Amino acid sequence: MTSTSKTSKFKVVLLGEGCVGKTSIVLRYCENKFNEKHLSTLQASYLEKKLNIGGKRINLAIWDTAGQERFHALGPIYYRESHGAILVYDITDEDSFMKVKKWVKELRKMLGNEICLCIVGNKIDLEKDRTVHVTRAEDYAQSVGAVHFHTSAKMNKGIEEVFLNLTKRMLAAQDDNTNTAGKQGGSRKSVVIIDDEPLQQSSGCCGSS
Amino acid sequence: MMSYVYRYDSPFRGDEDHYTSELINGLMNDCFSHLFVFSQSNRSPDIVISIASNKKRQLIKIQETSAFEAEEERKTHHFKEMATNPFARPRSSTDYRLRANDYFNRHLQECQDRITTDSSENQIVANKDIIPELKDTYHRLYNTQSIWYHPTVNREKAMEMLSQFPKGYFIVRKSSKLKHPCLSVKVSDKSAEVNHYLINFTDKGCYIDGSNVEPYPNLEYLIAFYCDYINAGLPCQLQLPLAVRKAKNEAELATFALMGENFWTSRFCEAILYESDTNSPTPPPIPEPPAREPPVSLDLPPQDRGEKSKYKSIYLDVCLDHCNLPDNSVEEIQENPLYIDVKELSVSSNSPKTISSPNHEASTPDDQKGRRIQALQSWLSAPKMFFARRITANPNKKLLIGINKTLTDKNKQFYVHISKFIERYRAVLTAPVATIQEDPLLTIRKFMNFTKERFQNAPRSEIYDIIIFNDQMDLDTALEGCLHDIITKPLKKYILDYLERKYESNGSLRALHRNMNIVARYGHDDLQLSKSVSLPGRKTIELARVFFDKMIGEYSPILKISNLHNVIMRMKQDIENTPGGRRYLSADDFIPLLIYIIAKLGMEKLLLEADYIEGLLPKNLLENGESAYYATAFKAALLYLKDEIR
Repeated sequence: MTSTSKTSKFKVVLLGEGCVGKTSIVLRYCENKFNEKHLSTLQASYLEKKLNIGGKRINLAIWDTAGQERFHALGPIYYRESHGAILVYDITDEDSFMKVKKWVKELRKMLGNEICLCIVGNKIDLEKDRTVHVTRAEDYAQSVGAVHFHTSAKMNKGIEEVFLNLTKRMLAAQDDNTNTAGKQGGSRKSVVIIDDEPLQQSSGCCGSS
Repeated sequence: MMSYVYRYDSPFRGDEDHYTSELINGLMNDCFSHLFVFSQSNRSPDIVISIASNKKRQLIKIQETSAFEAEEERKTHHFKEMATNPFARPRSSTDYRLRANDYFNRHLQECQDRITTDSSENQIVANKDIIPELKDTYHRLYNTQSIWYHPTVNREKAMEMLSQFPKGYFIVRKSSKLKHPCLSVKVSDKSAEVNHYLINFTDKGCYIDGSNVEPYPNLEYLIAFYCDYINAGLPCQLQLPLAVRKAKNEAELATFALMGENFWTSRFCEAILYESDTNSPTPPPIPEPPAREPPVSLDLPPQDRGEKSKYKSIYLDVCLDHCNLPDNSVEEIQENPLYIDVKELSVSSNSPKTISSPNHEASTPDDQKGRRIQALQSWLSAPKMFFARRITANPNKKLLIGINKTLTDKNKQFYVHISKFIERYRAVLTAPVATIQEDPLLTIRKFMNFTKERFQNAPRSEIYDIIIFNDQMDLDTALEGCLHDIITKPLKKYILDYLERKYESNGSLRALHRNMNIVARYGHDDLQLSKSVSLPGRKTIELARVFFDKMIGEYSPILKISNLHNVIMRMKQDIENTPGGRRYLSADDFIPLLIYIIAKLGMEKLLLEADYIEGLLPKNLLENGESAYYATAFKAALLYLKDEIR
């Protein structure tokens, strides 16, 4: 279980109402600042980003989702097997924050604490129009075990931090998992026979299968 | 109904946990009635045997000898065989394997008896092969039969063959009088003395005539025993040729095995070096078939022995040694020395392994075979966008041929399993939908995964020796393609028919049809598209129809998804070409656009396609990368059209 030699692959799903800027955030994050031409390789709605954190190679697969309310029911097939989720709201739009709450509730219900969450208040360039209060959002994030960030996709502010934080937490969660799995493996060593049935009986049944 | 008793020997340490969760639980559902998994524990030098039975859905695990012995008495009534007992005080890992094998054979017999008495239709297919780690003598023996087993060699020839070798060197031949296998052993370093021992076969296995050693299940085990133990009863310990003993991996063994009898006269066998009076090999004492040419590049000096560099050139040498290739193909091989064309081999080599059985499929004309290969190649090269990272620019044709040949050879286990599976699933898929409980696509996918895994760990005798590859990824990709060719293709019709009946019966297709008509009339605002994104034009929709039609025509889920990819690329181009358009298609627009296009086309059958792709796409593509995302989006679009329009 040496994660140093292997590339860790994480699936990150982007959730949030339409027009809150989730696509802009991920585009900012993935685009190559020094070479505009690289943008032509971008695909539709799906992006990958390679990272190296402390010598560990990481490949983030970022899944964009449709934010319109009518597509809400499609959520589960997008977020299944996700390691992390970024929930984006618009700080000038109270409804979009309510939508984030709805997603958080659903994710926690469906995926439990396995999934790492980041709540992102976007559009801080429009601070003067803010309707979602900073402390309220941050308290809420804390209460659900998520980390809160403020970003501005327009001004390219705070975006790196979101993904870095999320990735580090996903890595930690992965290490935790492998550690506990290792421990279980160790404590199981004297298991001899996991069976109460006589073998003769079981082998007799194959004829009728 | 068929029952399979399956035995799987894992070459990897500590695999028991893996199989416990993945393989057994999954596969026991349908494919096999009993599964034995042998693996070496990573916590002790012992073997773990997992026995699973699908009837009871239970898993029996026998693990770690010391602990086992403690439990032994308590479980006696459960495991009579063990109490009597095949597992008592194993001395070494090899020994343990021998006993494990014995145990397996006994149980197999028992299962077989039961099944055959229960119903004559039932059939058992058992894979009795075992793949221990390479360090095992058994493994080396197993992979090099063609070197030490020569049924056609007589006593005189055996003596001649062995005369130049150190003591302990041996071959197994067939006694000309008694028609029994016979072990010929060089017993002295100083003289040319060779002793001959008759090998007896009984129901319990084989043993050397006159010895008091318990019978071993097969010849390899018997020989391995006499190789591994000094005072086993023969005048000397048996010795495998040095090169075979020192081989580092299966590929090297395979290389030697390919040489067959010629190995003994090649420079890889130290006899010649032992004599050390020749730089080039002596002419083979055994009359060679006229088709063979003398070995080509054998100019390495003898002191190269044991050096790594020696092995690098082996592949090429053997290829040339062994088959009679036209001159221009030598160049080709030199460019890529690891691969050799199966077709050429089977034509010019007289190795029985490469001669295809005279059946209808094998006797198809060459050009037809060529087309098949072309199809496979196109499979590999088609989804370039997706698999650029996975697939080498030049798909390995030879690897494909080798795999294909192995899987369709009627004399090999794979063919038997696959054809039975297909036959069975044809029946399963045509049954009334209500009676089908488990998702048949899931089971088909699992069977494919299992076949893949088995292929990758299969003993040499089961696969064509020519399949030597240097990249696991290459093999996996090629295998995936071949499996779709062999398994998915004949089942496609049945799968789609089943899905259609399923969606017909629950009214989904009707709902889909109705909803598609509704959405097809939607405008820009109904779809909630961004301002910068416009509705797809007629041309895009017609192009999408072409690609979706192509998708329906494909049987490989990978090709299906590559057609989906084409549709998406077209959608993206549209966005890029719109004045003031974006360079990137946000999911907020992508999903409604995809839904709109599908609705416009009115192709309800795409619902079946989405299920087909989801069910049969290999795990790595279903869970990683773009293919995963687009398969999901496609499915999402159809689910939305089916369920969410009110």
